[in-house]
Amino acid sequence: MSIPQKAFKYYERYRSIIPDYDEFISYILKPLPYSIRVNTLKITPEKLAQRMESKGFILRKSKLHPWFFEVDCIGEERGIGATLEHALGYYYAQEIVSGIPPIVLDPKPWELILDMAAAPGSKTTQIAQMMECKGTIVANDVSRERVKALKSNLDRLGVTNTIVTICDARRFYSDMMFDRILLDAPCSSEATIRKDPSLPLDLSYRLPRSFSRLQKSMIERAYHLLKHGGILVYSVCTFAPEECEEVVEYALKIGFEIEEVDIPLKYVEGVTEWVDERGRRRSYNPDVSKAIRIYPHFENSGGMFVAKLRKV
Amino acid sequence: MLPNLERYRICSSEEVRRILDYLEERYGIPRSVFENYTFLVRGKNSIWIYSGHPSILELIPNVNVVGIRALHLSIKKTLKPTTIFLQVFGKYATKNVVELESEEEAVTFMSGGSIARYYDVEEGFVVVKFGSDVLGCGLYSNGVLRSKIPKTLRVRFEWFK
Repeated sequence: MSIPQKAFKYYERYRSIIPDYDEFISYILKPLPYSIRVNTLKITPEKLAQRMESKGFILRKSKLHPWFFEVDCIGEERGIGATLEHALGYYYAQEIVSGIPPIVLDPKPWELILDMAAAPGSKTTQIAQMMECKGTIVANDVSRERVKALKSNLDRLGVTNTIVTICDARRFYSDMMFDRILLDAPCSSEATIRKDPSLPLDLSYRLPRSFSRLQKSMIERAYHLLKHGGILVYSVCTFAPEECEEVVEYALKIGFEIEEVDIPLKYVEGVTEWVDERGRRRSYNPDVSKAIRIYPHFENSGGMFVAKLRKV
Repeated sequence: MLPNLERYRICSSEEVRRILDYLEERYGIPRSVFENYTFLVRGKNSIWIYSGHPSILELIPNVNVVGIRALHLSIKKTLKPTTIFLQVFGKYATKNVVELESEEEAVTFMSGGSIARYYDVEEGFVVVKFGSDVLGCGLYSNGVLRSKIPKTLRVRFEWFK
């Protein structure tokens, strides 16, 4: 089976939940536009945009946030990472949808933040910018190899308020509680196919089911690490309800409340009912509709699921 | 209980005084810049800088890295600021700053190359700038400026052809 055929077959299970499904399918195999986040710890968006445009890049402001731009590299085969400005840490090549979880997390200077699965650090560095490097981010990841990339991005962007830890997030113990936690969880990554067309898609759908178990134990650990009243943002780059709404429903069972999310991009509510590929009807706590789903054909982006939870 | 912060030790006030003296005397960076920062020692010869809450360092397990590496003792036992430190704090430097004159020189320096030219600075480690950009740390001696940009932050010459 060719890659497109396999992808079409794989995503078929979401036909009933994805609006304008045919348009969705037409987008998933298109390459993803380049986008960047300006590192405001080092330069202003205006100055960086001016510099990049003087070098022949075309920048368009993203609707998401003033730090984000979509970039055309016309005549620039070298891509978006091969510039002096990138080496100096003036920007981070980041997908627009990847910028959403930190915006929903809304960290404030002087707070104590835990980023449970931080590498390679696009969201950690965005959080540091939002905090102006004041307060602390504990940036954890399980993989020593991926932590190398995280550290190199923290260095390049000049982030001074992080403590990097290497640990399985399910076994992250600490003598202190956090104000806010980001759990950008490991997932089947189904929604990243535009970035990685060679993404393995297993038609038995074993991955979403096994990640769902991992995500639930991570969210349970997050609950114990969060102060009362603290915020947990749960995000995954997949369309599979097992990894999205089912995990959020589990969070509601163990003591979280879900809050509304509003971002200036097109999105739809979390799904409360669907039928899986084996014809089994699934329904979730109606409150999971407060989570958001972003599909690639809405804003010509990647896909993302985000829920904002409060420990009560 | 938990094996935390094995690698790091918070600098004593005497060590902090010596670090701030060095940064002020050699580069003219005012002490006030570092009011809200903590300096830490890791291993025998590296000093790190961190802007988070110092009180929580003991409470976090499995610490791998705290903040960014700021300075280290070179083989000749002189202090050397790191490029990543200078890219953040080099903008406050008023002494021993080398200003490059062209984009070509900036690219040469950022790709790890040397520049032979007389600069009116003391020999040793200098802050290297191009326009408003602080590029990083260079070593100036005998009329040659050598790049100390780490490999991970270098640019490639062919990008600019």
